[in-house]
Parts: sequence; C-alpha cells; structure tokens
Amino acid sequence: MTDRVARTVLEVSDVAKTFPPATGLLRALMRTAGEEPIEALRGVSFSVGAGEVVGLVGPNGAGKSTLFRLISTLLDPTAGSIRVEGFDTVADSRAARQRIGLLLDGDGGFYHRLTGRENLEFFGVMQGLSITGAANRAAELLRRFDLAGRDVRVFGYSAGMRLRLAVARALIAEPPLLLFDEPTRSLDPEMSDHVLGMISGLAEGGHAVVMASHRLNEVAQSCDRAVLLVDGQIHFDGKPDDLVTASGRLRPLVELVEGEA
Amino acid sequence: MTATALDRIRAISRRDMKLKLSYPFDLLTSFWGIAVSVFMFFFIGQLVGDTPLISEAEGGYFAYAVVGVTVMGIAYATIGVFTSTFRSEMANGTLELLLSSSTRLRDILLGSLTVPFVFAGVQALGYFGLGWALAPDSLHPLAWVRALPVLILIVLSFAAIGLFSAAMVIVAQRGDPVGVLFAEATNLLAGAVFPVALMPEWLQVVARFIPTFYGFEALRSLMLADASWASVADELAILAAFDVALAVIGVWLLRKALRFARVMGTLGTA
Repeated sequence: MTDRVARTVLEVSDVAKTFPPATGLLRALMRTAGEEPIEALRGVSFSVGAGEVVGLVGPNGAGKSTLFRLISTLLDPTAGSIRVEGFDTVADSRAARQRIGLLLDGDGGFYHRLTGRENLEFFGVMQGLSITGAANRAAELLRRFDLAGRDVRVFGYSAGMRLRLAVARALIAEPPLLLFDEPTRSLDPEMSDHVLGMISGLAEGGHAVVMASHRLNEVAQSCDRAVLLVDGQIHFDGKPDDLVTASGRLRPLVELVEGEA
Repeated sequence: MTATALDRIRAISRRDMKLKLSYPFDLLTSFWGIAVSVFMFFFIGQLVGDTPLISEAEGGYFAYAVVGVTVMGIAYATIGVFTSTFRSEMANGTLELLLSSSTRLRDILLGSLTVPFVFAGVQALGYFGLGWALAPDSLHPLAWVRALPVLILIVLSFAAIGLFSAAMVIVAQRGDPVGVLFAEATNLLAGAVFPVALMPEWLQVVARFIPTFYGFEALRSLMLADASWASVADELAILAAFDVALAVIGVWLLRKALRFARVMGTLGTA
C-alpha cells in the first residue's frame, strides 16, 4: 500500500501542547479550569504522504483528539510546528484549513433540521466552493455515498447514514488531508468494515488519511502505518502488523490499547 | 469557482432562515409576547393619562412606551445574536467544523446577523403595527421611516455589545452575564419605558453612559415630537461614537477570546 505514497501532505514536527491553568479572574469565570498545567503532547513528530492511511492508536487520554485539534487549527501548539501541504497551521491557518477534511466525534456535527443535501451545500460553501459548485458537488457525493434517494432532514438518518454524510462532508472540497476521529465508534462490525473499506478507497484516490482509533484490529486491517500515542508521546511508528505482534516494552502499551477496544 | 465572502454570508443567512422557519411555533409565541406587552402598556397608558413628564402632545405614555419596548425587543434579539450563534453551534457540534473551515470569523459573524435582524425588524413592525392600531393619532408609520437611521445606530451598539457577550461565552463556557447585564441596565436606566428624569440624580448620570439613552432621546424627539435632525445632532454624534468604540473593542475582545480558547483548549467544549 505504501507504494502509492508520493508527496508529504502532513508534517508534524516536534509538537508539544500544554494546557495552562486558568488564573485570577479567568479561573472564577471559567466553567472548567484546571489547577495545574496539563501536558497533553510532548515532542510528537510524524508525517503522512498522499495516498497513505495512518492509524493513530492510543488509549483514552493519550492525546489523539488534542493532536487532531492541533492539526485542524482549533488549538495552537505550545512548541513545534504542523504543516499541511507546506502551510503552517498557525502562521497560514486559513490556507491549511482549506486543505483539511474533518470528521470529529463520529457521526455528529450536523444541523439536524436541515436535509443531508442542505448540510453538504452549506459546508461546501464554508469550505470555499461557490454556491453552484457546492450544489453540484453535494449532489455528486450524495450519489456516491448512496444518500441521494432519501434527502430528508438529518434527524431522520440512521447512524450509518449520518456517518456516510459526515465522510461526504469531509470530502466536499476535495481536500488532500482527511482527519477521521474514531469514525467507527458508534457502528456495528458490518458497518465498520464498510467504512474502513471506504477509507482505504479514499487513500487510493490520493488523499492522505489520518484515522484515530483505539481498535488495533481495524488499524491493522485498513492502515498503511500505525502510530502509537501513549501519554502524549509516540512510542511506535511503523507497520500495523508489527505493532499487533509487538513484544518487550511495547507489549504493555499494546495491551492497554486492546483493553479499551 | 471559489466562494466569495458574500457567498459565505448568503449561505449562513439561508441556513439560518431555514432553521428559523423550521420552528413555526417559536414565531407564534414571540408574536403572542408582543401582543401581551403592547396591550399591557396600552392600559397602563390609560391609567397614567397626561403627566408633566410625557405630555399628550408628545404622544402620551403609550406612544412613549411603544417606542421603548420596540427598541428593547430589537435589543434582546441583537445582543444575543452572537452568543446564541456560538451556543447553538456548540450544541450541534458544528462550531469546530465551522472554525476549522476556510471561512473567516468576520464572515461567520456577519452572516449570523442577517436573519436575526430580519426577524427583529418583523417583531418591531409587530410592536409598532399593534401600537398604531390602538393609538393611530400618536404613532404614525412614517415616523418610523424617518427614524430609521437612528434605529440603525442603536442596533449597531447592541451588536457591538453582542461581540462582548460572545467573547464571554467562549472564555467562560457558560451563560452570558455581559449581555444580560447590559440589556437589563438599558431596560431600567436608559429610558425604555419611563423617563430618566424620574430617577435619582446619580442614576441619571449613570444613564448617560448607556448608548441607548441617546438613541431613545433622538428617537422620541424625531418620532413623537416632530423635532428637526439638527436638534438631535448631539445625541446622534454621541451614539455613533459609542458604536465605533464598542465595535472596535468588541472585535478585539472576540479575537482575544478565540486565541485564548485555542491555547486553553476550550473551543467547542461549552
């Protein structure tokens, strides 16, 4: 699978993220405010090429979602840099955002009183397509993901339909980088297999895909590479099968991940 | 072809209109609230009659109150625009998707204003239409047309306060004390439904720090006392100065709040 990797799309270089504690008036104002700094990521570096699927594996609290939010410019790194097709996520955040398709929290994040088509058209324009361009692209994606026949409000969608719609939304502006945060979390095994196949297909189409998961088996099934993140640090970056069969110091970490799956 | 800023603003407005119209019962209840409020002030006006502070020549108490409640209706709608936008996006799980899209914050804010402004305008017509039906001699429809520039200045001051509120929601991840405090202070102190002259002197001084105080003065002079534009020039200049200052501070605060949220990790978690 790695043969199709051509150019680097995502480059994460020595990234650290520490959430500072709120102090003074802010502490009184904020609903959630930590008392101590929280070191979420330390010295994280990896890259993803076009056509590559990288599985980001780790137990809860490992820093996977923080890393996704950093890449998608929702958070600023404390140190290090992240580049999407060469655009820095802090200095050139708008250019970087134009190149990212995001799927957060599984099947959530829709206007449930709008139809799937209306949602796609709206996000298409937000991601830079003209109104006509977004309408054409939405129609194309609804057909591709088998959603065209039932254009009802999203609250009438099944979990599987919402997930397909979320993937379609991530693809709306044909971004080179796709970030999928636990895309199979709320799905049954059959639907999970379908989604994983779909993700592999996206990479074959040239997209770079990063998929966060704490299911090692699905990473082994669908990813070219696995990156193991535990306590904010990368402990492994290599072939998924090597991680599944790892022994020595990696074994307890792998068991930690498998224990949560 | 790529989306222009106008395309993005139109897309947000169209989305908001569809969402608004998908809750028809909300519209009915808001018009019910308008009717109750107007009738209540109509009967209070009958009770109060002619007073030294508000003469019948200036439309009497009912006309005075209709102007006040109409503006306050717009105030509550406008001040809460950005706060309710952020909160509903957070509740839908769409805030992070919007902020990680290529659309500028400026366009998101401008787009979010359109539909609430349209509905605030419709509500204002409801207040005034009913007021006119009950007191046709003192509330002439053309008076509103004449006063439109003043209303726009008032609305801009509320929208600027709305930016403060949105910044507060992003930082505090909870309800919006700024907007509520400002709206209630305006309601009580700025002369919404009773003349400021009734209050103790020190509160009259406080009223002069509320931009809407100058808006009410200009609005009633133009609409109810047929005053000239020149006679309200001072009030309009002060109101415009408030608008500019509040908008500059509001935009700055909102940018700071978003930057803060990107450091603290609170974006989208409220």
